[in-house]
Amino acid sequence: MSKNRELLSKIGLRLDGRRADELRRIRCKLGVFTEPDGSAYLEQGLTKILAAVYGPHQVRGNRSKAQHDAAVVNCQFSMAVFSTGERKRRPRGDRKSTEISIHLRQALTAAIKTELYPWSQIDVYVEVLHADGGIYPACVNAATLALIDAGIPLKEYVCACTASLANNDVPMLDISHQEEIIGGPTLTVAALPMSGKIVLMEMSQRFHVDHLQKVLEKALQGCRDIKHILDEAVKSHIQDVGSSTGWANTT
Amino acid sequence: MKNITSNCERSFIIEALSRGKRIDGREIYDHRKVNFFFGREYGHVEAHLGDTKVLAQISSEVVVPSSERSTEGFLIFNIDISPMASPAYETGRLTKECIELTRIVERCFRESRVVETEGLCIVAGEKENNLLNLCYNFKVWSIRVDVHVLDHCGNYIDCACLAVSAALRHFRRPDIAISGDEVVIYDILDRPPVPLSLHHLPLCITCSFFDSGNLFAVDPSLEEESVMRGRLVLGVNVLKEICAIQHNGGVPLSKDQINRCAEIAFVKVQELTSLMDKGLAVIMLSVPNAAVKSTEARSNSWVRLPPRRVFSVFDGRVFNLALINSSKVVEACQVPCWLGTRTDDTSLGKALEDIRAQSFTEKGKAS
Repeated sequence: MSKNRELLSKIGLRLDGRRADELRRIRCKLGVFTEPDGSAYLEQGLTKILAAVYGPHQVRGNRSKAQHDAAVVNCQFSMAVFSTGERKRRPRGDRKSTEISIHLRQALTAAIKTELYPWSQIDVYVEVLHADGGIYPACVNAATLALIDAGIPLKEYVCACTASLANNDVPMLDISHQEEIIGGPTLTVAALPMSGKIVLMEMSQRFHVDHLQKVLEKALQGCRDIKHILDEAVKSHIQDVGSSTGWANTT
Repeated sequence: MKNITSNCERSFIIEALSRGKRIDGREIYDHRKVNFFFGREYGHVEAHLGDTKVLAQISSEVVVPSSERSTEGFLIFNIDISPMASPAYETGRLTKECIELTRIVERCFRESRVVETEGLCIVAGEKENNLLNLCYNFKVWSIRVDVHVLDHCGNYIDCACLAVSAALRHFRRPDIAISGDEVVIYDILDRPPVPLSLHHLPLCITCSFFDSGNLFAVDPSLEEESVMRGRLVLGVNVLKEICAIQHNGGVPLSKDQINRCAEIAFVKVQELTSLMDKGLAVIMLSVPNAAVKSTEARSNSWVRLPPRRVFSVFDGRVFNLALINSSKVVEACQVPCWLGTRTDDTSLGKALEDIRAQSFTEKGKAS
């Protein structure tokens, strides 16, 4: 399969008709649940993610986890059993989900102003409804929105994006499942897009070091693009919420 | 993972690093001393990085392949960080550290296709023959890599990758012959065993960041690990290819810092790989050639049990080479240090032949 299909055609289009530096369509919605303190739904291409945030609240369970100078961020990643082509046996607890949970926690801890909430805990629950590549970045983006909806102070948006290298030359943004299967290296970056700081980076498969610069730059560009999209969504959500409470009339 | 460090120690380590010094006297770009201990079996390697010890043991068996990839063998990693390494770890639980290590090793060695899995296929039968699409008559090799962290004195990730790399190169699987549907697996004494076909060899280099990310050191020791604020693990090979990157949390890094680390990692990998090359060259030359000596081997008991070979590599010098049989030292010698200055295999081989001849004659005299 990998032999006769190219990631990037001669005229520069990808398998799903995108250009190399195009993101998939991102649609998102804040405040989808009432029970959690904050929630968000995000679609990135066909990948669909739900995120819910509880807290900050008192540390539950093992009290010894509590930190005197910062809040504990607890993340749980799970994939719905129907989210992949083959029905999953267990939604969470396998090695891959545990790894994503750990990475999610690391990316979010870097963005949340945890020092404002000593002795407390913030829970982030993320559920994948439909997996179509780029699960981890979509989860980070959804979790950011949910944190904003919960009103938790962030240093800035934390956005994540994948990038790959097509035909050993052209960096490609936002890898879909189809492209993941065909192969090629995948670089996942979670960054604070405004300051350009990278909070998490991982890569699988291999490419030459000379390409690292441009693939990384492309991934960071993707993070910045995603930040704009999320920013728009947050603004329009605030406007909706605000106008429904009649803030336009207060002036 | 909680190794308690006092505030004094912490500030001392950071203060020293800010002056470009490290508490164990290394430079900031230095690795600790690297040692390999090769066991009596193929694919049994204990790598030491300073005091950190990781054991890798490779074994192979013939299995039925998965139905989706019926012409590919398996490369399985089983990684264990037991309480033996450090009291911080519990038994039998999938700890965070264990998952992290497993993923980085898998990324490095499996996802970057180090072992040619197609080359591990023995019999690829006809799929149409059975309705259930099960590949009963298919046979492939399953290469299992067991990695045990024996002693955790900081940076077991680099050490584990060294162990796995060396073990993959040291490992030999039994030779096979296919006649019709029959597959014959030969004893390693009857036919020379076959090395794995490896595309490239990545090694991991860990860069640790301190304070607010402005201080930096390669290969953190346990004390430095407890102080460090972030870590970037780069899996790279001598072809200047990046095979895995893992930067998780801690201090945020800029693009330039990552590029700089990549540059450093290449230099380090070239050093470490050439050390490993030299070590393996010595070891492989000292392996009795099973094809030539198969009859002799059966009569000669010490060759039959491949002797335990121990050697250490440091600073490009090979020394303390010893071939030890099960109970007594059969050959023990100091490979002269000038070997380190001559890197070509022939001079190493010649020296080794001399030493072996010498010890044979001594043995003859004794008997």
